[in-house]
Amino acid sequence: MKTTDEVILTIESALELEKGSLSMDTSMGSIEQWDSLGHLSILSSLDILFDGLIAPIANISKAQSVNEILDILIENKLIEK
Amino acid sequence: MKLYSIISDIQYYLPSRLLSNEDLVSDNPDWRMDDIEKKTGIKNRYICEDNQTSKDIALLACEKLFKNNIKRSEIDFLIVVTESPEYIAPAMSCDLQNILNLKTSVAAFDINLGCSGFVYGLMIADSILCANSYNNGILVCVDTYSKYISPNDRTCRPLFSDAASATLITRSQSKSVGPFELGTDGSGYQDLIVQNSGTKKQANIERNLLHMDGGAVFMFTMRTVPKVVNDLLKKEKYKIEDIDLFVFHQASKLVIDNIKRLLKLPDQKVYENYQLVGNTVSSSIPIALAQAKDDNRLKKGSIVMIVGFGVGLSWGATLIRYI
Amino acid sequence: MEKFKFNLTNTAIDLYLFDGIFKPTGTTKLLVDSVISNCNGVVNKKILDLGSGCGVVAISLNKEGLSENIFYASDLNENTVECVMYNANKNNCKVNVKKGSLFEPWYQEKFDLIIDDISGVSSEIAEISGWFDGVPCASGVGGDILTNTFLEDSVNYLNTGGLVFFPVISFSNVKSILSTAEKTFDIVECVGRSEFMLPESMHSSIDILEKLKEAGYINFQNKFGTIIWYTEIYKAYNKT
Repeated sequence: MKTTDEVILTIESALELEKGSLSMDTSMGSIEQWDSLGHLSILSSLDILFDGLIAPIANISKAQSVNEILDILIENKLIEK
Repeated sequence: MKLYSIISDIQYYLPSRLLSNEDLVSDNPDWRMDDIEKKTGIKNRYICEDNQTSKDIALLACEKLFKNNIKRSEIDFLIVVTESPEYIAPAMSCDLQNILNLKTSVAAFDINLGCSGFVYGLMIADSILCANSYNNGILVCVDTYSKYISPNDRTCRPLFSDAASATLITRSQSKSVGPFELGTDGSGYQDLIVQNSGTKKQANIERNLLHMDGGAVFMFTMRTVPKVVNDLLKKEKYKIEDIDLFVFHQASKLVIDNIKRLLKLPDQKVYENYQLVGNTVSSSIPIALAQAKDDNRLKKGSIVMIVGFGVGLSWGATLIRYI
Repeated sequence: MEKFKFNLTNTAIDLYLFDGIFKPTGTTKLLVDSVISNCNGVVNKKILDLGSGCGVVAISLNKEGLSENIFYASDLNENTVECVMYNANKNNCKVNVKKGSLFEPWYQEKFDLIIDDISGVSSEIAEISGWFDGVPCASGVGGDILTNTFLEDSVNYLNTGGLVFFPVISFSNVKSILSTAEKTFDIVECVGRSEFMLPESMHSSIDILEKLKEAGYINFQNKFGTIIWYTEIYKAYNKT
């Protein structure tokens, strides 16, 4: 199972942010880098992190904040509750 | 005697007006164009003039076909795949039949599909040729999405190009096209939609405006495309190594790179031309096939898999053997 | 000297950190954003950034048009004066910056807006976090000593109708701080909140965090297999 830290690092890397710059409520549109293309980069990077397990999750694209992404990953038992 | 179909020729037309990344920044100075280009991979788009319609550019693509030995009188059917007709009615294919001076016994009809449209059109053309005494048909794919896109739409404007293609499909005694894998998931119909168009009136929404939920469409491609590729391979008892070239709908770099990753496809097996052409919707695959042939990526005996996916949500894939 | 970019609404400012100066965090960003969006069209005001560090809050508010041509800043740290002046100069702002603890340097001055930018986490957390690398944090085990003193003293330095903004971090005694705020001001309202994950550097100190939580000094949530803490920004003022 991947850790929350790995997920956060992945999102930061996808958005080309400095480590430690995300808060739980950072969301699409709240920072310049997380626009619609940034969102696709996040989804793509998460799918790489989880070896293809993200693509089948129907509602993952609707998760538009760090909190929401983590909630969906927990729902799908991909990270610890 | 079993009958088959073969793609005899593909011609296309790209409008002369070029929209570069510099032009986009000039219109929208707050856009981070470096980042947009890095992720979409697209440097140029072709845009119709204000008074130029899908019919105008479809006509130009078709006329290119008639320069190459096929006579107008030999055309038995005309299929037009478009989501940007001049009018809702009549079908644009009827208008084109007249302007192209095709015989009145031609079967002409439109198909309202986008990025999967070429595969669907090819399937229908193949079925017509296999079932009838028809010999030749033209499959036109044409879209002018630029007329639906807001100038400051950062999701759509960097991606889409206008274009038309005309594919000549001919009856053959050798199998070249097929089998087909097609599919639909209408639960995603709102993920890529021209809003407030047609008879459904939506208050407070600008008329004829393209809306795309990029995330939803992206996840749809990641879920669907690898599966349809594998299903088609299984149907024909092929492996990935048996396919010489994959031609996907040229959605964007991010989409195609992820498809390559999920299917573990080496770069040399995948044809890409989105960089200089953009996403031409239904013409995307035929233009890519034509350019692949010009680039000598297709030879006699090549087996190509084409996969279209997008608006609907709809998808289709088939094999083409170059004989 | 470290250079970094701090994003504002429509622009970004370049700031430089001298040695021993606190590096802005997510709390800093939340503080700036909350002040900007809760000043009800306030412009050209006399603003004091207390505990200014590199001057990020004051310069940001100046760039957003809230402050007069000159802004006021102070910090206990000796290097601050030079650092703030350097950053103000780089960003075309004028500053009146002084060294001193809390309101010490501002005897008999009054301000329209006072921003509490002083360390407000438990000193035990300051020690293990790495956030205060070389920067003093004398906020006490509950992280409330300095903030409470700030709140009690701030009324004496406010113009009529003046506002105070202060962060409350869940790695401090939130109850104690809010109680002091409510005793001092007529109105105390939360105007911003962000949640954060425990930084990797603190993972090995979870037992210390658990003990502090048990003793009532701090609070946090166990979620997503890690620790989630929060910062809230409060706006306080007296009715006129």
